[in-house]
Parts: sequence; C-alpha cells; structure tokens
Amino acid sequence: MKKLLLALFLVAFLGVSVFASTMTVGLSVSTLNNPFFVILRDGAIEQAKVLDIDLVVMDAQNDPAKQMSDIEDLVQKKVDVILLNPTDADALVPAVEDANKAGIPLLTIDRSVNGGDVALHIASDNVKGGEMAGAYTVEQLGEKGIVVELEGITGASAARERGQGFDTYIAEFSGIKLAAKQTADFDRAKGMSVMENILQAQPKIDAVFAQNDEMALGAVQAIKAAKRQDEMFVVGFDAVPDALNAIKAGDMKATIAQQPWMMGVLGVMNGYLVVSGVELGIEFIPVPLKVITE
Amino acid sequence: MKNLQYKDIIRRYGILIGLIGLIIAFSILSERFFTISNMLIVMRQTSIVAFLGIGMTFVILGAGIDLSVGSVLAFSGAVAAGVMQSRGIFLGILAGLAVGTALGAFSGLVITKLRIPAFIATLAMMAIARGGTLVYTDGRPVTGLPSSFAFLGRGYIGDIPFPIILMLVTFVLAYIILKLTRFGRYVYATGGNIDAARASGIKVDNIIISNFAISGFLSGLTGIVLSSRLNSAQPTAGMGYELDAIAAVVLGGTNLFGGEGELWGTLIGAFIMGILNNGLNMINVSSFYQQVVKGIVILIAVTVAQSGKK
Amino acid sequence: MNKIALEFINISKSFPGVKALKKVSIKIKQAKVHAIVGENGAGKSTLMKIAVGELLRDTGTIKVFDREAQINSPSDGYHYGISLIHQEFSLVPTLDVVQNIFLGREITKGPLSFLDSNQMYKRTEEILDFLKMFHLDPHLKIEDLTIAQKQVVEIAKALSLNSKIIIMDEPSAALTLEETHRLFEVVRELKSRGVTTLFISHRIEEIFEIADEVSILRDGELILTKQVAQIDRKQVINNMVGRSLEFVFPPKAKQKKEAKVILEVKKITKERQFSDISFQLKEGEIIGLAGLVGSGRSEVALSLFGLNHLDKGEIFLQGKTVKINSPFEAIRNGLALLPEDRRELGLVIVRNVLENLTLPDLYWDIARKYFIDLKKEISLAKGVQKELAIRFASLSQKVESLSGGNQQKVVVGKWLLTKPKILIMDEPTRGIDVGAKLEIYNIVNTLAKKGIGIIFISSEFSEILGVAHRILVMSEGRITKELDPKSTKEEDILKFATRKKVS
Repeated sequence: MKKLLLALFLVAFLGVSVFASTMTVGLSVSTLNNPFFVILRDGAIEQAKVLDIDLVVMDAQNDPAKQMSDIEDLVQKKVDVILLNPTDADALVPAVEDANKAGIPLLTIDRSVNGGDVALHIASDNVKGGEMAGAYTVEQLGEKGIVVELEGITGASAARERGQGFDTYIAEFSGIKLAAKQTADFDRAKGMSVMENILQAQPKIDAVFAQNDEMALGAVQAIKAAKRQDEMFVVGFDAVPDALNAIKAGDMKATIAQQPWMMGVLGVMNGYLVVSGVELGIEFIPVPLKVITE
Repeated sequence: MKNLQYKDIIRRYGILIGLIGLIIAFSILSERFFTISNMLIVMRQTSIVAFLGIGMTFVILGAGIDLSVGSVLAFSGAVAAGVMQSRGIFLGILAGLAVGTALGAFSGLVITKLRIPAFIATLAMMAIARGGTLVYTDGRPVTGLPSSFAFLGRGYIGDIPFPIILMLVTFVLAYIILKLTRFGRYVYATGGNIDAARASGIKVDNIIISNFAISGFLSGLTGIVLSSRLNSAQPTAGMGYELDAIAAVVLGGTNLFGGEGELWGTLIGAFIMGILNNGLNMINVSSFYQQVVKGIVILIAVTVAQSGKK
Repeated sequence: MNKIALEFINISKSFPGVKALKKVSIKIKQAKVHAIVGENGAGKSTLMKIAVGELLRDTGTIKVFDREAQINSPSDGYHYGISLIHQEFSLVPTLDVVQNIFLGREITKGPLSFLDSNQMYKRTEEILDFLKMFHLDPHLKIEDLTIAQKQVVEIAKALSLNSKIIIMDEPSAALTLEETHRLFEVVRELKSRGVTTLFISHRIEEIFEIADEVSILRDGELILTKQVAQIDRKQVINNMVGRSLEFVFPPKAKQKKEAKVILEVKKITKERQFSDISFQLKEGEIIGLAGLVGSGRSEVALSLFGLNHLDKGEIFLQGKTVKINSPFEAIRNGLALLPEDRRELGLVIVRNVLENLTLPDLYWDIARKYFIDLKKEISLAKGVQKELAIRFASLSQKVESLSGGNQQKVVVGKWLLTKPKILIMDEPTRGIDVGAKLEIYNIVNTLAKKGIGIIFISSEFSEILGVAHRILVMSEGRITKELDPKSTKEEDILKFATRKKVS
C-alpha cells in the first residue's frame, strides 16, 4: 500500500512537472460487451486525460486471435507501452513476446498471461474475493442453509479462483449445503436460463452466489419470474452499475466490488511510470476488494 | 462503347481498385501503415480468413454454403493439439487435417444423400463441431504444445512469416485445381446448373461432397495454424469466422448462387477485410465504429461490383 | 339474342422477332362456351393473357359487356370479372385449398383484422358444393392434390371472385378421360348460371363435345369464327394446319439396306408417365416421335438417358441388354440427349462456350487424368464450331449471350464431341427462327448419314414429316400408331396424337 501511494505521488509530481510530452498508451481489452471492462476502459481514459497522454483502446471481442492481431497492430504503431487485459492466459503469450521483442513494455490487467516478460500485473485477488462472498453469505444465513453457485466460463482464471475462494470458505460450515453448481459463462441470458433450471430442480434455496454480476442479474430475473424472491437472496461479483441498482432496489443482496475503474486508472498510471523510466520494484498491484450491500 | 469498357473494367477489377484505394487512403491517414513490416503483418493476419475463404470459394462456386468452418476449425485445432501432446507434431497435424476433412465430407454427404439444404446441414455441423470441441477440451484451452510447433503460425522463412507462404502455396494449388483440372471445371458447371451438369454425365454428388471436404480440410489447416499462432487450441476459436470467409468470397465477386467467380477475388476480398482491421486500428477508429465501417465497406464494394454487371 | 360478354377488336402483339397476333377480332357471347383452337405458336395463349392483362397488347381494344375495358396490368382482368386458369397453376403448394382461394383477399374481422377462417371456410364449402362432382377437403394442401383437383381449386378461385368470364387454357391436357368429362359437367353448370367460358384446346373431339362456338387461330391470325354446329372435324383440322409449307425440307439421308439395329426398347413403362413403349432404331435412321405436350414423349427420352428410372421393360443396345441408371452410363453407352429445355438441362448458361462444349467430353477424351489438355480442348471445340457453323465472338463468350439457334447448336456440338451412336433430340427447333431450324435439319441429316441413329421428338408435325424416316405417334403415354411419312399427312398425325385412351 505504501508503494502504491508512492507511485501516486510520483505520478502527480512527474505528470505536472517533467513531461508535457505526447506519449501513447495502447490498451487491449478482452471485450467491451461487458460493463466491467467498459468501466475499466473509462478509468483508463480518464487517467490518460489527467496525464495528458494519448490512449488507444482496442476491443478483442473475446477472440484471442483478434487480440493477437490487435497487439501486433499496437506494436506496428510503436506505442510506448501496452496495457493488456488478456482473453486467454496461454494464447496471448506470443503477443507478449512480440511486444518484448519490439522493446515495448507491457502490463497485464485483471487477468494474467502464462509467459513472456510482463512489467506489472494489476488485478484483484479473485480467491480473496470469493472468500469474502462466502463469508458474507454464511453470515447472512446464520451458518445454516442451502446454497447454489453459478460459475463463469469453464477454465477462465476468474471463474476458477472465485469459485475456489467461495467453495473453500463455505466448506468449513457443516450447516451450509452447496446444492447445485453450474456454469453460465459469465453471461446474463445464460444466468437466467441456468437459474430457471436450478429453480425447477431445487425445492428449497436460501442463497445464490454468482461469480459475476451479469449472471447474478440473470438469476434475479429467473427467481422473480418464479416468484421465489422471498425465499432466497443473491450475491454477485464485480459491482457493475446494474448490480448496484439491483441492490438498491432490493433485488440483490450484495456484490463484491472489484473496482475496475481503479484498475484502468492504475494501469495507465503505472504504464506512464514505466515509460518514464521509474523502477517500480514490484510485480503485482492487488486492487482492493470490498463487499457492497447498499 | 467507352462506357461499356469502363463497366467491364469495374466488373473485372472493381475489387482490386477498391483494395488499392483503401491502401492509399490508410497510407495518407497513418504513416505507419504502408511499411513492409506492417504489410507483412496484415498478410499474416489475413492468412486465416484467406484459408477459410479459399475453401468457401469451392463450396459457393458449387452453389453451396458452409456455415461450419469456424467450428470445424476449432475442433480440428483442438484434436491436433491434443494428439500432438502425446504423439508429436506430425501426427497431430495429420489428425487435425483428417478431422477437418472428415467433418466437411460428412456435411457433403448429408447434403447430397439426405437432400438437406447446405445452409441447414452446415448449421447443424456448426453446432455439432462446436459442441464436440467443448466435449473434447472440457471447455479449457489445450496448452503445452511442443515449442517447434510454433513455426507453423509464428515462424519465418527469410523475412517472410511462414503463414503467408502457406497461404500463397494453398492459393496456387487451389487455383490449379479450379482452372486446370477436370474437377475444377465440374465445380463451376455443377454450381452453374446442377441439372445440366448431371445431364452431361457429371456425378454431381461427388463434386459437392468434394467441395465440402476441401472446405473442411482448409478449416482444419486454419485451426492448426491458429493453434500454433496462439500457442494453444482455444475451444472458442473461430467463432463467427464463417461470416468473414463468406464476406471475403462475396467481396471477391463470386456469385452466391454458384457457377461464377474467381479465386483471386476471394484472396483480395480477404485482404480487404484484413486491411480494414489493421488500418482502422492504425488510425485509431474506436472498435465499435470499426464494425460499422466494415459493414458499410462490404455494402459499397458489392454495390459497385453489381453496377458493373448490368 | 345473346349479349356479347367479351370482344377483341384488332388485337396485335409482337415479341422480338415474332408477330404473335395480327389484328385479331373475336366476339364472345355471354353464357356460351367458346373454343379457341390452333397449333402450337398460333397465338392462343398470348391472346388469353392479353384478355386478363398478363400481357399488354400493342394495339387494339378489349370490350367487356360492350364497354371498353382498360386492361393493362395483371390485376385488371379481375376487376372486369375475367379469370384465366393457366396450364401451369398459380397456386401456392404449401398452403391449403381455403388459403389459396382467398390468397391476397383474405376475409378479416374485428378492429385488428384477424383472419376470419370460419367465414372463408364457409364460402369455400359453398363454392365446392356447387362443384360437387369433385370431392375435395378444403383443408388439404395444394401439393397433396391431383392435377384435376388443382384445376378445381383454380375454378373455385375464379368463382369466389364472381368472375363472369372464365378462360381455361388447355384444361384437359393433364386429365384422364373421366376427369375431363366431370370438368365438362362443371362447365355446363357454369353456363347455365350465365358464366361465359373460353376454352383453349388441342383436342378436336372436345370442341364438339362442349363448345358452342369455335375460333381458329393460325400464325397469329384469326382464320374463322363459327358455330360448332356449322363446322365439322375435317374443316377444323384443315384450317388449323392449312398453311402450305413455307420452306422445303432438305432431302432425307438415305438409309442403308443392311443397317443394324442399334437400339431396341421392349415394353418400357414408367408409371403415370408412359407405358409399354417398344420400338427399334437402326443406325442412320431418324425416328420421328410425334406427340402433344404431356403425351409422355419427353419422359421416354429422359428415361432412355438415365435421368428417369424405368419401372418395367428392357433396353438393348447392339443386341445386349443394358441398365441405364444415370446420364454417365447413358453417355458411356453412346447415347446423347438434346433436352427439351436447353436452359434447364442442356446448358450452363453462366459459363462460356468452350466450357459448355467440352463438358461431357472432358471425362472421355480431354482430361482422362485429372488435368485438362487445354490445347486439345480448344482444337476440339473449334472443330465442332466449324462443323456446325456455330456463330460466336470467342470461345470465352458466355452462352447466355448467344441466340437461341446458336445455343441449340452448342448443345448439339457438346454431344457430337462424345461421338454418340444414338442422339435423342427433344423439340430441337423450339424457340429458334426459321433459318436456324433449317440448319438443325441439315445437321440431323448429316449425322444420320454418319450412321448415328436419331430419335427426333416434336409437336410440330410438319417438321416430323419433313425430317423422319419413320413416325411413331404418342398419346397419353402410349404409342398409338406407327406411320410412314411418305403416305402421311399432318392431319393423320394429329388424329392419332389426340386419340384418347378408351378404357
């Protein structure tokens, strides 16, 4: 945390005094079809304005091949630094290596890659987030109740880690029973249809944990349609605006705030530092999480 | 008479003129665009659509359509990667190509023997192959591929990326098949008028099955190259690529109802798509607008090409 | 005294290169059955299409019940109460009878215009009750109906429009004798209700059975209009075919005495198309297969060429029995087919002349091993171009830009390259001009001289007489007569071509 503050200070200092230059930052986002990454991008744009530098945003539309091409294009454009929010941990390794070869520093945001030289990784600790969701659920249920879980895209690191944190935490309480665990691909429509099926199969449910808000919001639709909203509560993850509204309206109970805005801000800021030649001395900046209930 | 010649030129070379126009426009808008290294990158990026487009050209010339190429690509890539992990690169590649060819031929069989329209048969294959990929990979990327496999998608011969060379070789072979062999002639005749082709003694079912097998084979090849490029086989690879391939073929002036069209047109169509992707990135067009622009360019290109036809 | 329901005054119509109608004037009396007869191409269908606005006349006036009618577009006929029942039905096969009858004018109810199915069903039942001799379930889909039933639906549709004038274009062509009689009962019933019927037919007998008056067209001109009671069969036929032959047919190729039989068919049958067809074809012989549309002659050709599977019977080639299940096998056995519709079955019109000419022969000569021998291909194509005098700018010209006659020659040429022993020509001169016809006849003779056996199918009986060594007449799927052209007149062929199966 101290280092983070130091970094912030440095940015503020350097930003106003030393450089009035035209630096270009390239940001490759896995998809802009998900509000989470839109907020991340908006944070990056805002910070780039503050620092008076150029920001180029590319949308991989969840296709690793397209993201690979996007990175190649960024390298061709000779941007000064690349911020990568990868679609896949393995598939983007060659792209990272391309950037390395061209001498362009590269930072990863939210998700990591399994190879190449990455200057800095900025992300929330998803395992921790899963644990926080688990702790909140257990507490609300009074350590007793039936829980179902909606998983994200099978194999995606966020899904694996959030699930791991949540599952490990609730396993310690014998009163909590995990009745169903099914994948809905981080998608709202799928969240709804999967939840519909679960509602058919489970006569009694006390709580639903969805590994992201999109699925949680889909689940809320299904629960309302079945008129069983008084029977159970829903906990999501990511704190996207729709989810915050749903919490205000009483449709959702809580969400884990990932602070994507902060990720975007930190990405641009640290990219700026790296290009400016500042030794960061760290490889990972954890973006803090918090439980939001209102 | 002059007007006629002008129209003839548009009809024949309209798409090429469009490509050159795009290159000039992007060169003016970004000094980084028209460099050798960027052009090589565009060609490498284009190779993926070009492989699929060449296969799709056979299918469409034969008055068919293949919606399954994206899924077949993913399945072939996954099988190739899976086999490669235990049995080596060569067998892996062979397995991937075999899977692609077999799936394509199967679509062809369904179309000809069960008399199911190509659109439906390959739509079904699109779902089957995608599902098959997810089953085979359990929804996870297949990783841990031999390091020398990277050559296929990321290697160079001299200064030229290997996928570009592979694309040119594929193009030349496909061109020879279409223009110089009996089979190629039969493809055009079958697509142009299947009844007349049958009445001329052509076994039209075999031609159609072969077309889909070729498309499947090239989908398999694409899947393998893509796996090499991405250092892994992605279960979601190739989603929506069938539309890029069809767009490349149509941009290239091939008649969607079969019988008329040239392979080089498809190659240029693929380049136009590749140049648009790269060039719009180069001049910082937002990714949302990029899709709008691509759609508009397709409309303009096809409209101009048609205006030369009448 | 009957009112005039419909009057044509000086109607003329030209198509590119053809004058289809020349100043035709006919008066059609109300509540009568008026037959319009004439040979193929005499202008009957053209006149009827003009009556309902499907074709636009060049000059002339149409009067309906003594008032000049503005019939200028396809829907105008309906406004004047005129309905045309086509040879090819204009019904939607996937919809049912009720839906077809009310297509485009569905009865609706309520403010949201919901379909009033009950009302439509009731109206349909009423109309079908009137046509009660034909049992028909209004909920059947059109594709499940017989041809006669489809005709009934067309008539019902016309009645639902309250048509005062119903035109039937060759209604009996596809009907059995019994069905034809039932149709006539409907026509008589309509007549008793004051509906006027125009009736187009090839079949002379039918005119005498049903019509009150008859008009004869020939080459686009009205020859006469008469009361049926005042005319006889012979006069009708003479006036239909009466023209003197305008050009002389080229002398027929002489047949060798010792000519071998190269094709023999024994009792071949295809259900619902033709039955018990038997004949022999010798080398160098030209058989004329005469018959009207729907007589089964084209179906015989398609079956011999493997495009249509036989139910019964045997085919012998050079004395050996063969099974021909595909065009590929037909070609291997030395057969070639010049199809009736060259754009459907003969040519790939979007491809060029070269590719069309060599298409069947690629497999046999030009490209035995995968690759095409381009030099050989071009020289073969040029050879056949010279032989048949096909006129085109270059071998890479698209076939669709050629004239009808040259297109037909391309089809002939593509088969000559396969060196056939037997050539089946189905209506080879349809839709081509007189000059090109003559060239086709010359080609037929040249080929016969080379020893090729030719089956020449035509519904133009004058050309059958002028070309064939021997004539087989078909009607209703059977060979009704074998004739020697030397001692035959057109009327004789027509007589046997219109002979109804009596069973």
